[in-house]
Amino acid sequence: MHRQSPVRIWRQNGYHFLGSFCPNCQKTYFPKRGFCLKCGEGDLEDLKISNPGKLISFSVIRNAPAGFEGQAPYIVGLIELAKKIRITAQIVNVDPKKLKIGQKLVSVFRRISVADSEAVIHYGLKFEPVAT
Amino acid sequence: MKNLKRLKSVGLIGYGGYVPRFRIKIDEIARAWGKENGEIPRSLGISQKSVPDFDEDAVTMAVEVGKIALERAGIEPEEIGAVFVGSESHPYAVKPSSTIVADALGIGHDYFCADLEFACKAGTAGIQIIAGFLEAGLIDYGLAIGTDVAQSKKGDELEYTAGAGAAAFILGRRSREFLAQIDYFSSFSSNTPDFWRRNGVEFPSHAGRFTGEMAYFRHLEEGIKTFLEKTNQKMVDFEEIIFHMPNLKFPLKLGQRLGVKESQMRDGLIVEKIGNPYSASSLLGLCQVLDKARNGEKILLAAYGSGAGSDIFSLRTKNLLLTKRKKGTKVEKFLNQGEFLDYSQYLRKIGYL
Amino acid sequence: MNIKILGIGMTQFGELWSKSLTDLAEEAAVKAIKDAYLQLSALDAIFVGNMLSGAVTGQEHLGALIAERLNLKIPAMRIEGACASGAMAVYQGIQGIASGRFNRVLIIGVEKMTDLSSAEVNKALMGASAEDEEGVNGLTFASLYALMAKAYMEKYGLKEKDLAEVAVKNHYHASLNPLAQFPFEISLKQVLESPMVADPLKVLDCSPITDGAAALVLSRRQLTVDGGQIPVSIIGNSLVSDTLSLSARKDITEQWATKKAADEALKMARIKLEEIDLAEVHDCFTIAEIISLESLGFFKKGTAAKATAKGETRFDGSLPVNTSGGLKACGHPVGATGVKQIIELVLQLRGQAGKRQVKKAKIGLAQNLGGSGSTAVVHILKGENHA
Repeated sequence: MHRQSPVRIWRQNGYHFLGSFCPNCQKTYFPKRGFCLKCGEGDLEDLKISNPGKLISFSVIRNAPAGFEGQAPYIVGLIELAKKIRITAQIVNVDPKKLKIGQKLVSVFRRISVADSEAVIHYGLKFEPVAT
Repeated sequence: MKNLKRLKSVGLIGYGGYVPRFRIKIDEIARAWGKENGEIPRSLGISQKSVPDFDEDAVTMAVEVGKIALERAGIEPEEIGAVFVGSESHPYAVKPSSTIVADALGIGHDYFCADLEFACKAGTAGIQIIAGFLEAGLIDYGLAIGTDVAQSKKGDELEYTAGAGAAAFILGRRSREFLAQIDYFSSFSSNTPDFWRRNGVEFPSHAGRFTGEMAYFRHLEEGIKTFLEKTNQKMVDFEEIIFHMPNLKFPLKLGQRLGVKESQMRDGLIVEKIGNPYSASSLLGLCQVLDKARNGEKILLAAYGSGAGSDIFSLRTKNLLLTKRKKGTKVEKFLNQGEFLDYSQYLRKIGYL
Repeated sequence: MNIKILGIGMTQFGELWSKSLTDLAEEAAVKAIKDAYLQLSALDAIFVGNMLSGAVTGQEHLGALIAERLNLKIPAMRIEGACASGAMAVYQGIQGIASGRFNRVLIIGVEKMTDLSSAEVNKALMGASAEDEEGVNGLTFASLYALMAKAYMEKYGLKEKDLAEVAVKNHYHASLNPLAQFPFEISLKQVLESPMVADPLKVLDCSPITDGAAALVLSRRQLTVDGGQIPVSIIGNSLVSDTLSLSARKDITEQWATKKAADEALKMARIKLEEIDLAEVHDCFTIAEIISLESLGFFKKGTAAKATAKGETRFDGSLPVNTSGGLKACGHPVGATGVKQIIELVLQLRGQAGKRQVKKAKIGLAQNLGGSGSTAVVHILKGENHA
């Protein structure tokens, strides 16, 4: 079973939605990057993109790819956060029949995948409906 | 030391509890194992237990409660100077859960840290360690978490009670920020093999009826008696009393022996609807007590950990609790929710771990 | 632009257990050279379109691999653009000719997918997506297009039945194509009752996992072989890049890269959209054909499904689409598809399409997509038969 490099998991650090902010020309980027495309400035600041988000679209996956077989069926969605920044993520804690496009979702910390019993655990963010 | 030192600068600044969404009825487990005559559920006093989703574990739940505690505390995560996560189901034997949790909460890099294990009192041990740091003035805030996805051999009697949950406490040393002040704490420890799990083995073992009198009851009764003597307090002084809850029977029996009234224990009894979430058991009881307490109430918290030991604390609630607690989810919400699984669905959820 | 297609060749598309990637590439190449009435030694360069070779078998360096098999020591390289690799290889081959450096080039699109389990292939295919964001979270290609489908259905009121019509039509075409993976018709009921893959897309809404290769011999205009094949020319093309990740896409109910590529290719070919007689369109999923047709400009937004149901895109309709059977029914050996699309147009423009021949086919358009719409390559072909 293909195991993700622990270095890559560490570098990706999906524990936060991190973007970049250029203090020079005030532009915001997502995801994080090294250089401002507008002014070439290399000293960008980290910017945490906030929750909750709005559901743009979703689908229930029944045929899972390798590494996710035991998880199916699970819900994936396209979610719009602050500043119109969108991301794709899994959605949990909800019956898909009750999900509506436009609904508010908030992030939760979950296991994303574990390649095998010796591999580093890949944690990250999924989404659940905001408690009413 | 004749008497216990009264702490000057240790208090709860924030707290949070979490129980996963799924449940399984004890009757359903009994049915799967051909024990439908109801003998087992009746003797434990539990009707159902909590079951984690396949993508949850001790770490993910710890992050959720850390978030709630931070919301109530209203501090920046970078202000936390120590993180101790206690569990008997850390996902790694080597590689601390505490740093994963700290990373996920945005705590930065300036914090003392280690993982803790002492069966069901790993979380309270963390509170004691942080209390020491605070009393010594070494940190401003510390985060202690008790979290467990309780494991048990399938078909073993433990399976009926092994639940999942987490509770987090942020402690500080500025009294004007206290939701509750911790006045005293003590521990009673011994080398007692009542319940254990060898390294590399998936499920714990236990010594049957030995886990009662010589383990749970001895360590809590002696621990509490000594604590009350050394702090000049009596059981009747406390409006709220929370014991570790491996089931419903044990804490009620202990309460009886110590002359505790039902009204003193009612708020902290969370075991009937979620089972035993090990390191989070007494701490979730404390969260529920804090959700409901009034200003100026005295709380006695006594956790028990197999192997064995007890941690005892006395606290006093403050006025700030009444306003700040509104910023987080109440434990009651978790107790009253639940999506029920049958035994095969339950196996699928936990088998994935 | 006037690039001549001297020869075409392709293997059967399907589960070809006993053929390796190299076997497939060789077969398509030899057929194409024969079709062109040439020898392999007439070639100046080889361009290979392939996506998954490394992920499936660990084999990279396909240019050298295939050159060795064909016993040629000429410039050979692999071009990769996910599912658009085939058309990208054609695009690069044309660049080589247009630059003046090469006279005749061989384009081979090839893919060997059945050596892995379908779960493993689905994971490998996510290399066409924003892996860091989409693959890592357990998304599949079906789910990416499903997200587009759901949003499109919400916006235009499309129903699952409307999607199914695309699959039915393409299977009908494939039943007339002996090289197709599924040369048989299916019914609307069968599509709607097939198991759900990623809702609303079901098994029969999705293109299959396929082995296959397709090859072209291209040359500069002046080097047409006398007494050779009926010449067909490529008169315009374009390659456009849009965002890799779906989350960075402006509107997920359209294919912007396709729209721009079509505009540019038409401009280069100096023809109007109305002059297109037939099209090979990227139907990796039924929704993709619907969205692509609208983005190409053939139908107004929200109307392509109705037109399909009416039969307008059948081979005997007003705009035949995917007479090869499309990706759905002819099969989708990823790197080969873009080349196969062009081969289908060539057959139609030569008048060699047999039972599925489009009457008076003069000008054809092929649209090949990479990923969820990140790369779009459009080629426009003209048959010399009808000057």
